[in-house]
Amino acid sequence: MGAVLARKRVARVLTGVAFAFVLLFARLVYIQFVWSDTLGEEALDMRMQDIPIQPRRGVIYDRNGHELAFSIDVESVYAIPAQVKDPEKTAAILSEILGMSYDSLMARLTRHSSFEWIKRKIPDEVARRIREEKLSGIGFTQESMRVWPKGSLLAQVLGIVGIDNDGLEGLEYQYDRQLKGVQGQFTVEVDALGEELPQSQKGYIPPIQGKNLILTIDEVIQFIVERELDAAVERSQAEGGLAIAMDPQTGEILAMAMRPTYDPNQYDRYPDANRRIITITDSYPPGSTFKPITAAAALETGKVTVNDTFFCGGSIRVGSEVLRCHVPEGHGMQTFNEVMQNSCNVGFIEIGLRVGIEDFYKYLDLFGATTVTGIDLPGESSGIIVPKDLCKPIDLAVMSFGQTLQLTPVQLIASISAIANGGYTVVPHVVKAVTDADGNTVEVKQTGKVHRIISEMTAKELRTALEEVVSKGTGKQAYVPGYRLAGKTGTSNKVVDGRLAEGKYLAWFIGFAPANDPKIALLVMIDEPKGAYYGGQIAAPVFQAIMRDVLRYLEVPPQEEPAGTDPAELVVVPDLVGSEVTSAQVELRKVELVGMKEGPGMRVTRQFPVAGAKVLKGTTVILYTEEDVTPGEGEVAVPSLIGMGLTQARERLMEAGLVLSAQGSGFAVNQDPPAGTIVPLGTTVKVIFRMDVGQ
Amino acid sequence: MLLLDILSIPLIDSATHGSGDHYYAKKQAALVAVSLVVLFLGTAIDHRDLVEMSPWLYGLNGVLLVLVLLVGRTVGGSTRWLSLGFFDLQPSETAKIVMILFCAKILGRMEEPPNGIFALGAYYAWAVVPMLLIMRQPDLGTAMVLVALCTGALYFSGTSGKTIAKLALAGVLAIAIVLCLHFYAGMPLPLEDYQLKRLLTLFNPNADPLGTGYQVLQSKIAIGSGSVWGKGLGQGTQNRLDFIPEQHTDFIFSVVGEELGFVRGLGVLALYFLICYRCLIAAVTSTDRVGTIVAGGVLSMFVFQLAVNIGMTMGIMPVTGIPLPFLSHGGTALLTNSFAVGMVLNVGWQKHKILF
Repeated sequence: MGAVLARKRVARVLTGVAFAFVLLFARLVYIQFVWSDTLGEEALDMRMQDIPIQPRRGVIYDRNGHELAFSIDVESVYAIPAQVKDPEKTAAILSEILGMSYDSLMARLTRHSSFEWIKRKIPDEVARRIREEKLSGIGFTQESMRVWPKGSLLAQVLGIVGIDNDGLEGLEYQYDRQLKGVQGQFTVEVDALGEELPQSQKGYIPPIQGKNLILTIDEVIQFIVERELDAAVERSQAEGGLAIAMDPQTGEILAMAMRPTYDPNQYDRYPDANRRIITITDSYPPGSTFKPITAAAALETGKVTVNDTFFCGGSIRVGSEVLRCHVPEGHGMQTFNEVMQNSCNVGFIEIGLRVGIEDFYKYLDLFGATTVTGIDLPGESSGIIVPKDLCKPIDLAVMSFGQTLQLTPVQLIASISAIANGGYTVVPHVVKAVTDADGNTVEVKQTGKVHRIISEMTAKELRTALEEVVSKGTGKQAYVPGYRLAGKTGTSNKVVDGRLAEGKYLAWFIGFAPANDPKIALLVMIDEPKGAYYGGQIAAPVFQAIMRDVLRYLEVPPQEEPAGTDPAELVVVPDLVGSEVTSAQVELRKVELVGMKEGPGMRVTRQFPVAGAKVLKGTTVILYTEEDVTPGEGEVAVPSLIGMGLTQARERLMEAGLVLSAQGSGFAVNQDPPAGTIVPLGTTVKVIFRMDVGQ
Repeated sequence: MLLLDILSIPLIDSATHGSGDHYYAKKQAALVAVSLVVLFLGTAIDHRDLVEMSPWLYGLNGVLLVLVLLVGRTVGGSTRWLSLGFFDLQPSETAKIVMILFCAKILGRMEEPPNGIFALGAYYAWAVVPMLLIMRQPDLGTAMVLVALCTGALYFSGTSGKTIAKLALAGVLAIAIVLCLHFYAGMPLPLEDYQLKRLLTLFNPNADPLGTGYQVLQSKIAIGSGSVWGKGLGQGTQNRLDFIPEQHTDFIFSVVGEELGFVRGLGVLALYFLICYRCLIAAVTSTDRVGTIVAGGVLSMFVFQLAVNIGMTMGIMPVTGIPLPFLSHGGTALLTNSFAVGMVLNVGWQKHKILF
């Protein structure tokens, strides 16, 4: 009949019901078609649990393939909280083995999460003990731990890595992408409670191992530089110091050291500031070491020739100011080369003023003083220089002898290299090549001269002038018998918080050798030496000591007589290797040389300078009388244990017939006696292990 | 009408894979068989007799609801069941049918459909008693179903649309005021914290994927991952691995979506629509006012339950414990729903007797 219900009412109800269904229908369409793909993936994600597998971080080698940083596999222990059957018991056991607090372990084991680290990078022995407990929900994964086997050697340049193998500083940071590799993973399918399903999908994506770096650094040169730098800082009770050795022909950095330093294996024990690469991040007033650049601008523009003479009366007026030379009575009349030898400020002011602001700034640009050098290390800055449009004649005058402007040490060595290599700029760099995990070279870095900034002629004139600084001038203490060295001393007032610090000095020496065919450029700076502070007194001997050993190590043949020396003063060093020390002494005295015995033996095994070198009369010849280093009967050389775990170290010592006395746990960071020492069989070797290496 | 019987077959299928446990499947199959008897019973008894009996049923059901609170069986924090040994009775489910009949009784006696505030107040007052008892269990969803079916019955009795709209507005306002008082003045609510949270979760289910929004998110993932043809019965990973909680009861539709897919999910929706449509036809063609109200009440109950339940599995309705008629596991609900359909058939039968 339908009389009970009005037609309109029925229509409304039908509409309402239909609307509700259409709404549900629309939502179904939306979820199943529009969202379907993403939701399907989410469903998969819900079931898949990924356990990360860390790739092995690449090795950093020096130019000769010596390892400077490498990674070892260690185990990390994790928990999948949902699978932990008895959190209280598990926490108690782990707490005992790992020495961690029960409460923090309980918190991790009961957290509403699918994956929790319990402790990372634990020694093998500890991992084995946990494994033996057969705890449910507790698993292990391999991680790599960074070890810097040479300790503090090249520390700032190498840098550090964090717990997740991220490079945080230095090369580890700069080349992190290459070194790190790509994380792999192991995937298991789980249900809603996190239980691993039997016969479930298991995926294994192998990690891609990190790439290796081959540096331009030479471990031996680095060692020599650091040894001499340490000695100098200690000798002069300085605040610190730095040194850079570079191949001036290519820009390859051979060594880069700074003090104070740190050990990347336990970097948290040192002030953060020790990790800064001050050779590239900090700028300093270069003092007289800047004078070669002023001189280069003057000679190249033709505004000064080497035949010009300059008079120094002890002071010079520039505008309304009077600037004094460091010798109050003045240097008198000097040739261009003598101005350089005397490091005469008045002379350089005159040279600078002749160059003029326009050309002076042009050569600042050309020598790279206004830009970063482009070295492949993080945090490089460029120097601080008075802007050209604000530069007044007084600024130009002061800059001419290297004050008011500031340069980074790496800028300074790059600019001196242009003089050494015949007039070309170079880009300082520390990485020579990148290799993959199998040792195949994947990338070779650009190296060599970039573009000419001064003529060969100018460069040659400057080399001669700088060589005379060492043979006759302020740089005499840098002289290495038998070699031609060029260099420049420098002493500058330290700048602290933007102002000159009275009584605080930086002692500099920059130079290269051999002067006629430069193989190595070297910069040394000693920061705030106590007592004597002139570059010629403090930095030049360091330069000399480094050059002496490096030239010998590089097997650079002894040179002809240094420029500017009287041939009558020169003698040829006789060959003394193999002779008795006493007879060698006699031999030397005959040619007016002094012999000095170095070492415990009685027979000369090596000598320095080598036979055939022409040296000045009175030079000291060092006679090395090292003992036989091969172990005799019942003796053995102590193996290197650094970086090894306890078990490995014990095995290695047992093989050698030695006894381990372990201290601490983790990885060997120190040993006594050091590797290579000859000891009787059965000797106890004390090894210090640490857990937090690389953390 | 025969389609209702056909509907019973996918019910068994769906319920069987719903839990994957044969115990539930067998139980459900038995219940379906019983439900057919109940369906027949509903069809056989004249709905007018039932309406006449309704005050007694109302009283009896009230007693049962009180008994539930006193000696009921508790599952998952809610006390909803009376254990009868062989069968767990859920009086809140039967309360729905009883309420429909009782509403028909009250409204049928009236000369004019209630429009005045006092008449309406008196009418709803009858619903308040079982509602409060059910909310004590606590079971907010079923209490809301009662409100819905009372309102539906009211509409079918001839109360004007305007009045209903005003009522709805008043209801919304009342809820808003109570919520404001709760949040700003700390007024206590007759709701558990989790119930309130669930309601609020509707607005942002992704805010807390592992907490209150978890069910809905997992359900949506399940439905969405089903796509056109579904993963096949028993192949739904979200379902089988228990990512969706309550998948055999309240969230059964997500299993339909995941395993049967869009096309068959649509089929299920269509069957539901057919039932609703049949209810409406019965209401329209009913020769007596009481029959119209009964059919209208059943229609309201189904539409509300369907919309809220399926809506919640797809994240457009708040999560309240309302089962999906016929598909969700739950004996009392299946039997009462079957009985409700039987009643509607009876209402329709008065007119179409010749056809059968």
